[in-house]
Amino acid sequence: MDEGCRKLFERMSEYLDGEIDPVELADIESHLHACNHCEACLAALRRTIEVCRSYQLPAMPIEVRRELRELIRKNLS
Amino acid sequence: MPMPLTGDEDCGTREIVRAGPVAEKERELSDSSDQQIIERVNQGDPAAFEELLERYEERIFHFGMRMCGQVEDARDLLQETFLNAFRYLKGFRGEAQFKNWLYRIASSVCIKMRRKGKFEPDYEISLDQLVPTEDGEVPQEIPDWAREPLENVLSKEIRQRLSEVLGLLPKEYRIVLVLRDMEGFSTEETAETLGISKAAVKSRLHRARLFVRQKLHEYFQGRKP
Repeated sequence: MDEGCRKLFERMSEYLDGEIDPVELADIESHLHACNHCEACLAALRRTIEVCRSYQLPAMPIEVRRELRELIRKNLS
Repeated sequence: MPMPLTGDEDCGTREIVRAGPVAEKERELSDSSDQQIIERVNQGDPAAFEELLERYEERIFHFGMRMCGQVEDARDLLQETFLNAFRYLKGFRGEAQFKNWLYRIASSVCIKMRRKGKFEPDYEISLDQLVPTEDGEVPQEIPDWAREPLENVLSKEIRQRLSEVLGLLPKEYRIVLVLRDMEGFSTEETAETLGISKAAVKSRLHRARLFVRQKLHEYFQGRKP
């Protein structure tokens, strides 16, 4: 891992989130086009974010819903 | 929200990963009327509070599940969050969105909570431990699990694995990842909600993502025939 790889590694999330300023962006993209290793790292990180965003959970149990209402009603009265 | 995938993305080019558009729309739709409901509660119609429950209980419960991993803990977090919201609603001035205010309460409750009967990881994650080294994984090609269409990667098993990996993350990292990548908060909203700087949000988020990436990579490598 050379200096360019390390620099990109530290900023990959900001890069994927579009939070890199234009000057630095040009350097990063230039490195990325020439480095298979960073391209692979970046793709895996992007996929990780997509998996996190797709993490669905089952609906809240009815029992939990009922208990919450009972608790709030008790506090209302 | 799931990112729409065509399956033929060029992973070498820049593609900004954005929060789902539905989350943005929900935010716009709910804001004006949240304020109306809050005014009704504060004007002596406490039953209107149930309308706030209808809107947010599922989200806060799921936030609790993502943070704690157990229904019992998520239920406790949900109850404590709404009890506090009810107590302090008169103090809500509308400077922030109600949703963000509610998550601030939930985050505070969550940070104070201890998981029942569970080891709570507590350590710093350094970038050095996540850098691929010569001794370990130094991919030269995009791994299959990052190349395949997302729907081929997602499964009940991977959801279970992700839940386990979240549980391995120290809470201060986990909460940032959950808010940013699962609850659709921006960097700024996350910073405000947790009372930390934007730089701290970015730093913890990056480490948390890399940690999850490493664990998912190990998982998929282990499944290879």
